[in-house]
Amino acid sequence: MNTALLRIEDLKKYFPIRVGLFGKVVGYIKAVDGVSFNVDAGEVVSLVGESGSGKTTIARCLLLLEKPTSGKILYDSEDITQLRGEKLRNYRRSVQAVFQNPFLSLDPRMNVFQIISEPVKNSMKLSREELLEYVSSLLELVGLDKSFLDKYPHELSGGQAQRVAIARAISLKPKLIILDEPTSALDVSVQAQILNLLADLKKELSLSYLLITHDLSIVKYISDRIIIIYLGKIMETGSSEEIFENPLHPYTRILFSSIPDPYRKFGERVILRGEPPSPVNPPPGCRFHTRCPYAIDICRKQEPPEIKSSLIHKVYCWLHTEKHSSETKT
Amino acid sequence: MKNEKIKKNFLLKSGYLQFPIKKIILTQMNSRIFAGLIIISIITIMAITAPFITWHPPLKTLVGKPFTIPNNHYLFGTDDLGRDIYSNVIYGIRTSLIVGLSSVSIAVIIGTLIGVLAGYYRGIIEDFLMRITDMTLILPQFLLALVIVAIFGQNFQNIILAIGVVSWPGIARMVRAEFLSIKERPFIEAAKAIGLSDMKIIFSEILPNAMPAVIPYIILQINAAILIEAGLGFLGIADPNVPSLGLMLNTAQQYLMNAWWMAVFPGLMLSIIVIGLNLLGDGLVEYLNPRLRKR
Repeated sequence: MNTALLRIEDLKKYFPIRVGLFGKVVGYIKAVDGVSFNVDAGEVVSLVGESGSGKTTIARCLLLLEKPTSGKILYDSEDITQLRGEKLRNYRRSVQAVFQNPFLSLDPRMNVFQIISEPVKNSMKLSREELLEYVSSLLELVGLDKSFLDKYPHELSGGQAQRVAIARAISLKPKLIILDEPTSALDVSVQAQILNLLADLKKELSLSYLLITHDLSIVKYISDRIIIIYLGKIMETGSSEEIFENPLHPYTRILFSSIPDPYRKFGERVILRGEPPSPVNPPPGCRFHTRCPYAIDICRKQEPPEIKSSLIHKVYCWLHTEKHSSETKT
Repeated sequence: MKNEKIKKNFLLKSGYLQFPIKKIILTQMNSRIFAGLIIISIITIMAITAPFITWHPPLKTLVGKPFTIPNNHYLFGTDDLGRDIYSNVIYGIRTSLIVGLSSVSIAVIIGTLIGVLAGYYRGIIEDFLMRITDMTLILPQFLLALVIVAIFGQNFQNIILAIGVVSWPGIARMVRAEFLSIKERPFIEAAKAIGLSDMKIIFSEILPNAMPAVIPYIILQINAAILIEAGLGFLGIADPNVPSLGLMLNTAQQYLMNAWWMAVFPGLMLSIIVIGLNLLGDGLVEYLNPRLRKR
């Protein structure tokens, strides 16, 4: 476990709800409520969940855009919230991000060269010619050519803009890239190209990815490990194959049945009704029991324990305690 | 070969701060901006070439007989002390523009600094700076400038300083408002995530995006500064050693019945400057705010 590049321990992020003139705190939005996982070097970990499940908040905590309420984020066994000075800069350099909408995440008043060279200028001392050379090589790496250097974001297509964003992310030779819904804003045909590019870059530059998405089809395509998250808590985690072959948590199954599949027989689909409960006042016991078709009494009262189905496949669900224990008994 | 060309072209083209001025001039420019630009350019040229287009030194008394009616030699006539009004008006434009530009530069520096600090760092800094801004905003600009000049003495620098010191709050508020909205845009978060320093983010990411909204306001502020200077002059608070349109109007009012030209020409010139700047400023506001743009 010491080989983990990034290790998150019991991360919590509560947003206070303030009212009135003096900002009296009347409650907290529990966006992330005790999440632990790790990302190993060279691994692609996917964080999957519906809107409001807290996956983007985790990313924002990792990028130090939000300060976690409690818990630790360890990078190279150092807590990133405590980093200062040179070490902080080092961390920023080695963890980069690609955001959902490239048009919003690129400065509209900078051209491609300026966008990509901005972080480079900040940390490497290069002459203008060398910088130009380096930026062009990065563009080539993401499948664009030199003619894009003096284009502005509004002159690019969605896919091109996202490639520029990726070029900027790899410009500092990072170890981990946080991909926050990198393909959600793109066309389906372009999505595939971007995913292929990400897969190629991973091999070429030995990167790790933390992929945050709600799109299960891209998860299946690219990730090594999957973490299913619901209302700020982990529901199920395991290797990609295990989870796709044998989803254990009812929520995971329902998620998978929401993937469009032309060969599925009618009636096999479980449709999840209702909306996720409010994270201000999450339901007691298992977070999912209000919508779970298989909920039993204990789900409403106690938080489910961690159940290991294999070395890395873990599920947090009462239904499997009995199954598990009965299996081990026999 | 082709790459070399692209590279050269690119090196030529890439500037760091890209305000949309170039775009405005080249593409759709509304008639107000156009009219404003023409008026302002003519006036600026007149102010710059003042020594070449006048043939009497300004402020020099008795270059002609007092109260000469405008004629071929004294285009705008002469005043009570026999000074050439034409030269004084032309040099007066110069004064107006210098006062407008330099006092607004002071205001822009103070205002941007305060707006940037308040808008970027929020919290207590913001509360403190914005309350100061509000307090300054409450005081009437003109009277405040009057008091400052009255206390520190009537010379040219003091007038510029006084006008600069009273006109920053509006700029500070606008810069802050722009910062508040731009700061939350995803590309700023992206820049933070990349690890750019605060200074870099403020000056190379947010400020270039904030300026287009502030520039028209600054131009209107130049206008206001010119009017304050003229107003102070009209009340007799001006440096007597510098030709000033306001001061000329002040002297003219005593002889309004007998020498109309003493009031008409400086007044006209002042109006033209103000109208020109107003057209330019309003046109820019309209151009940059698509909601006001008529289709």
